[in-house]
Amino acid sequence: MDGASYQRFPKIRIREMKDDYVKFELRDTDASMANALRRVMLVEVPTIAIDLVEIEVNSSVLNDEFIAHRLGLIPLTSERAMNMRFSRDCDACDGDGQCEFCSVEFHLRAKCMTDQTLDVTSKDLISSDHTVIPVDFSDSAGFDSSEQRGIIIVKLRRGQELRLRAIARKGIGKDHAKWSPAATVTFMYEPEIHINEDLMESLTLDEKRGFVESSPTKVFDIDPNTHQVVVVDREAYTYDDEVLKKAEAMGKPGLVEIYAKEDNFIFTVESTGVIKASQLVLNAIEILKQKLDAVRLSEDTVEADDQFGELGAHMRGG
Amino acid sequence: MEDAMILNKSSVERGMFHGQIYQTETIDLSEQSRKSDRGRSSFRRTVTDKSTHSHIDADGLPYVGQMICPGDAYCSIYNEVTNMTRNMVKKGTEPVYVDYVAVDVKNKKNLQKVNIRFRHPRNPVIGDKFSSRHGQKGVCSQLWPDVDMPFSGTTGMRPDLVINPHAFPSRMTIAMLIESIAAKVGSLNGEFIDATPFASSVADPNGDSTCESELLVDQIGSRLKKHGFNYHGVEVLYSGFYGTELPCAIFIGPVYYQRLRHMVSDKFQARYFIISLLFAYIHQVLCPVNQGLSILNVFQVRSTGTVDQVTRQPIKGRKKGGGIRFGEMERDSMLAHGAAYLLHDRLHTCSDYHVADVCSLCGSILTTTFIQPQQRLVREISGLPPPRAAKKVMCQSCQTNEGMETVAMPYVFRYLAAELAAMNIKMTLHLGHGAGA
Ligand SMILES: [Zn+2]
Ligand SMILES: [Zn+2]
Repeated sequence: MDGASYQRFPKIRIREMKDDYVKFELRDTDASMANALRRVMLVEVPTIAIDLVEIEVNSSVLNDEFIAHRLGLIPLTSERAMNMRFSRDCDACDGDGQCEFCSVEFHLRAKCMTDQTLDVTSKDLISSDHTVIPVDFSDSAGFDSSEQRGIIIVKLRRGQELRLRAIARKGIGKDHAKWSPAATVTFMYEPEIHINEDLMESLTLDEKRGFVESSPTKVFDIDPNTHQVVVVDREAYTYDDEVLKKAEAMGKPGLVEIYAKEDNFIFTVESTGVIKASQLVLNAIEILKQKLDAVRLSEDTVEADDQFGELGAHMRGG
Repeated sequence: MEDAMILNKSSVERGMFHGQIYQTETIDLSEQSRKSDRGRSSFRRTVTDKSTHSHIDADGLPYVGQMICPGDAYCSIYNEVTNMTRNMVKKGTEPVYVDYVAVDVKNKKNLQKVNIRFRHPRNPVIGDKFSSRHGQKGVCSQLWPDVDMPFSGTTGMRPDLVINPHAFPSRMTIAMLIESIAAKVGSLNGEFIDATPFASSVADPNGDSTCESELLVDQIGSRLKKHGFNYHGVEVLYSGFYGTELPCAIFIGPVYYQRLRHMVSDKFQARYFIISLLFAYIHQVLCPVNQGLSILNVFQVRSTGTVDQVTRQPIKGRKKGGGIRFGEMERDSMLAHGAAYLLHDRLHTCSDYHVADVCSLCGSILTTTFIQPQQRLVREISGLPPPRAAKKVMCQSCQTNEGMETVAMPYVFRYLAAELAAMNIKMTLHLGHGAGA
């Protein structure tokens, strides 16, 4: 280690951005970084979810624990979560988890008075904080908004009643999946496809067609004018090797060459709706930075050396 | 372990394979009490002891929805004759919920009979058994978080359950593979797939469908391909730990899975038992300082308990509190690991350890007898402490105690010698001085 710097400067280019969906490129870094980002997005970006339920009356068909579990899974808007405190290290309430800095209270009262079945949904949850409310999917989904009444918690028949108090807290997906803000986070290496034009020209049109169709995803196509095989969407390639196998089967190995660019990634992020997908990415980067800071700072301190000095010596083979 | 599977912990947290067990307890006071006491006891809670009031309502019965931990009272019975209140205490190892309390109102005057229904919540834990509809059963051996599971690069999907492909070749449950791939196409199209066997052979030859009477699997494959998936149902997955592409494509698709009734929480602590034993052993090997303590642990855990009368080995059967079978295959695996001390400990020390007296002159272990020292009586009378007899065993056939030696052996070995003797076969032991002797 003679001072050679391996520092790289990753770049992000956003391709597509909607409220609950974002697609971007991550360039000039490696799989460990991409995967760290993915993992942080899935389980370490904080959100708010119902964590404690006090049931006053429950004469519904579902039992108390079951309803509590269902309430926990309801996505709540969590823009506030990054600045909120974890109730376990909240000074204001001594970890009681009932104060305004670390919790949000919800109330639900529903009783069916008619012969028609009453759907108790997430919209019946009354929040004490207008910034933390059940996520409203009605407009984004494009359905008729009068139909869409939120997420069903339980159905009540005549005379049945549900009355409860719930406390939502900040948490992360590592502790329980209900706190995970991401529905899908995935990435793939950016593929690089080279067609051996000379070899390709030795194929008949039918053979070319067979080659193009061998890939389940539409990566290649035939130019209608020149009858040349062209790459239409290289990112549709799933690394399934189907075209390579086809080329092999046709007796033309090396017809195409496909490499994965190992330092470029294409990310797809879908949020559950609790925070915007773009915010999810930003929060994840922020948390990743905090974690790296924690490592960097602990390395410099003397306490850490006391703690890990022996271990370090051991690892060096001492 | 054989047919182990990995469940997605996050899916479990979202409610996958959640289950409950109902258990009803009937309390009939007219049956319980003796004839003289009949009609003299009733459900009533005590006024003096307020500690049970959080569990028991004013009528002496539990609150519906109340959680009851093992050891908690859930119902109290007042006896008028003795003027005593007796609490019914919940047994078991896990907390339960009161689901329903039904009272028998046939006897209008005072309540004599109640049914209390308890609810045991059963979320999947390690050791629970699951099965597909093809008899492919397996035991959950790990609960992995979502992020650690492999994921698909295109869809981002993570599996709920991972099984071992070695479950297929010997059992030949092709139907499960067909179910998986057909369900994949079905869910992509939003329709059901008809997988009736021999359907193509039975189909009306004049019908229109005869032209496409190819194999179901081929139909499915080409339809999968139309949706941009692999013909054979495999997908390229990325490691959840490293983010790198897995070296081979993985067959992935929806399969209907059921939860089976065999749950570890019902099965005593058999599993924890084994683990604690192995753990104690690891301690013994890794930390020689703690050796004495660890051996003691092993000793306590296992060697107490009922034993078989004939072989003196721990009896089998969990109900009787017996040991866990450590068979030939287990022995072989221990040998393969070179864990000789563990093997010795398991098969000897913790089983039927026995110190036998062997006559080195004739090599018999059956002819030894105890000698009753003659002087003992005299000495006891005269108030002297009984002398420590040097050798109080002798060989009956050699009529001497000169060649007596003690040898540690499994008790079944002595049993074997006795059985052989009964068949007129003499077993002779030649004692030597081994390395350890
Ligand atoms: Zn607080
Ligand atoms: Zn003898």
